[in-house]
Amino acid sequence: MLKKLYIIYGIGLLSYSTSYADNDAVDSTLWNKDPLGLETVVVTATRSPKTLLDIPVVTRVITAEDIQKVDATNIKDMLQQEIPGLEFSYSMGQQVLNMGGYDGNNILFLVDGERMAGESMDNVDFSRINLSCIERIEIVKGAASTLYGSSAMGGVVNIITKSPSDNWAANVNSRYEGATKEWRHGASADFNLGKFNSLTTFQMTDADAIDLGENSSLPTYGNKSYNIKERVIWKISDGLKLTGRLGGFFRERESSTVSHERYRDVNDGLKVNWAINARQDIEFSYSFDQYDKSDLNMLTDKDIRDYSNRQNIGRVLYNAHLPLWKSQLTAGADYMNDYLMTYQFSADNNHRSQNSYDVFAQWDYSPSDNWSIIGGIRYDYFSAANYGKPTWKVAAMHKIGKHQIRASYASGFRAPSLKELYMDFFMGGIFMIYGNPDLKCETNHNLSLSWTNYGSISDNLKYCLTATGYYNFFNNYITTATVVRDGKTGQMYTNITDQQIAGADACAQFHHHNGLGAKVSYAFTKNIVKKGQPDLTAARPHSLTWRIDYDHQFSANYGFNVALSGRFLSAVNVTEYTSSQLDEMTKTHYDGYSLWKLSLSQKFAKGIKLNCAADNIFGYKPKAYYANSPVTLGTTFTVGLSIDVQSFF
Amino acid sequence: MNVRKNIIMLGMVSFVGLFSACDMLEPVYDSPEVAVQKGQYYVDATDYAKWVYINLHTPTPTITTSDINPDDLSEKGVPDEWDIAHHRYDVKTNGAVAVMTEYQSIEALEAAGMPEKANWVEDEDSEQSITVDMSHMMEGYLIYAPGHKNKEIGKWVEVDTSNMPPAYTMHGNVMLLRLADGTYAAIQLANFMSTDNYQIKGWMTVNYKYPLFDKNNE
Repeated sequence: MLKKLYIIYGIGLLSYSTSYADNDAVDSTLWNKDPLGLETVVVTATRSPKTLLDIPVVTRVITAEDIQKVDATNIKDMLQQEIPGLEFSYSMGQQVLNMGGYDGNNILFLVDGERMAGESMDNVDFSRINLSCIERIEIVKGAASTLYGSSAMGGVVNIITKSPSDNWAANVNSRYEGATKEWRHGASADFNLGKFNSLTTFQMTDADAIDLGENSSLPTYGNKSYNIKERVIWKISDGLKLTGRLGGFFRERESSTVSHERYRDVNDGLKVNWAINARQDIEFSYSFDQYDKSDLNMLTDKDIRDYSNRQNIGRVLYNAHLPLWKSQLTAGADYMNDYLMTYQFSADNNHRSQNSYDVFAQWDYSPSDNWSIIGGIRYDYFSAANYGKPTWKVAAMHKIGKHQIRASYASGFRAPSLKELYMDFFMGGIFMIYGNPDLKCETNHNLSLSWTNYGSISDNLKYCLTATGYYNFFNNYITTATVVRDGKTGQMYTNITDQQIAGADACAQFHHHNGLGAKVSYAFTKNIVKKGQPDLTAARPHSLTWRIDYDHQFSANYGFNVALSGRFLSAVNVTEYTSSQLDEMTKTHYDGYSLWKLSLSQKFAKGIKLNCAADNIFGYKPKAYYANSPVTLGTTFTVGLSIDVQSFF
Repeated sequence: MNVRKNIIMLGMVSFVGLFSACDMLEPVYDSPEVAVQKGQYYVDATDYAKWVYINLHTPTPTITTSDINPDDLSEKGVPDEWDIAHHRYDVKTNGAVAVMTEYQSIEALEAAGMPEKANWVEDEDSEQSITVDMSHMMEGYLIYAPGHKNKEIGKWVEVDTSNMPPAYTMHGNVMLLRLADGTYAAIQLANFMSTDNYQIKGWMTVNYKYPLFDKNNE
């Protein structure tokens, strides 16, 4: 361990000494005025553009630069590296998510504010998200149903795709990852033609199954995927903008020698942004998303669909700036038709659908430069169970110099899914799983208190510190419980008793003007359950992520960034039922572990980037591979090349 | 706004509208139905509490299904005459012996002729021969029935339950059987999933030929 610490210290010292050796060459005027990204404009927390420093709700941002520095393989790796308390584990060969004690069902993933159809165990198919076309990822922890409706209980992760370039841009990239022998190839083209802008992105991946050996209870599979998107923006006039998009996705998982699982998606959307005047704007949008699953039977060579989720969503969103009242009003309404056909419904009624409607309003009041207060209310209605759900929130921020105090209350909910309402599935030919039309919504009340301090330690060193404490009261958690029907024991979805989730986050960021940066984040999560009730959340109590990086441009034709990043997750005992009567449980222990990654990104001739990374550099291997074990066999290497074509013209 | 702009806007709206039909991916998929071929039978062997009996001595295979009572493990509906029986991927024979050949089609076996060396395997008796009730698995026990089955033929589907979901491997090798009356039959598993949208495992599509190597018919 001491040797490892020396290596880390050595790398840090090398970076630091190198930076001072080149200190004379640094032109301080070139120093990024906002190296910590505090002036980044975000939209998720309030559904209107505001800088990070001006929103009353704590928002975490992962920038495109962060993505490049971490050199993540996919969105899951990226989020795990940057957000402590966020962990992907495995269930039935699929990845499931836990963030701050909430499971994936309670975390809402959006792309440019739009929901994604389909599910992969407890959330969307993350393979659909192409890292290379992301401008930033905004993460708002805590309940946000007042703006986003169902599922926004534990947090919202909003993936913002790239903005149009000023002129034109084109990129080709390839990356190879050694553990699964994964190739990732991507390309994008972005150009302007008069008042039109077009952005086309493409990505394909091809990975083998990783052989975890005999001590593994985790099945792993080879995968291929293709993802293409087209977006057209038409600036009709200064106040009127039309955005159209179209996307397609295909993934094939080599799940066995007799069948391959296939996943397809098509989506499109049209959005009209109209700035009515300098103080009012309105957005109309329509989006469609179809996500299908099928099995390619290798024995009959037939591709048979057994799942299709189709969502049609219409929205209107209105923003008004009211300077006289020092306020901003945001109001909107959504309509969604959700259609689901699945093999998990009964054969004589294998498809269901429901309509949902909502209206919401938010008042953002800033009585002075030091105070900002937001209040919001929303009402959602779901036709399947004929019920409505109101939610509300209030948040306030007070600035004292470079200190900011934020406090908020928000309510959240998750409506039972069509699957949970109507399932009628003979699981593996073993037992039935029944839906329950009488399910209630999961609901929560979220309280949060946060302190932020930012500024400069010297002329050369900027910092930002944030600490947040939160408490959630969670009602009507939906899970399966035993029932006996027709003399047979089966499972049925049901609401179980309440539980509470408390926790704290802390983050420290530093940036020296010579290019040295550091970010350390810590999360503590505690699930409080009634005596005798199991804690089913599998949340790691303590987790830590960190990154130290050094960025230097030696000349116009050469620069590099070297980053040492990592994450630590403490040990956890996961409660699992061993009896269908839900009266016997066992605890599986998962060791704590840390994974370290060293990555070097070199930039040649302005437009060529060569990324090399060694992941898990200390070669950690779990004793056995279970659901919450990291899927690693030790140190792995990746190499990637990215070329910005426009740089050569 | 001029006419040109209106036309372009209408075009974009129509474009999105066209791609938002009710089911955009339907043409991509195949119809699940697979016609049962000559020399093939297709049986529902999904039920743990049933045996599906096949009599190959009739012009077309005679299929009879029995019921096993999970309480007293008694079986009702066993036909008087039968040659092989299916219970999910388990197979039992009526006094036959079997060998898994290297051939991937019955025609290839016929062309090669009777194997010179064959390790014939007869059915094996056991107190826990087949599982008849899986519904108590989460409580840690299953209900088994005594009986016999042929493990050589049972090799045609391997189920690895060490991981969830289980991994399935199918061996399409032709199984050669010497029946109790000394005649020969060949069976080969073509598919073990239902030929509908559900692809339920335990529906057995079997290629067969009886009699085989019958000098009287040659």
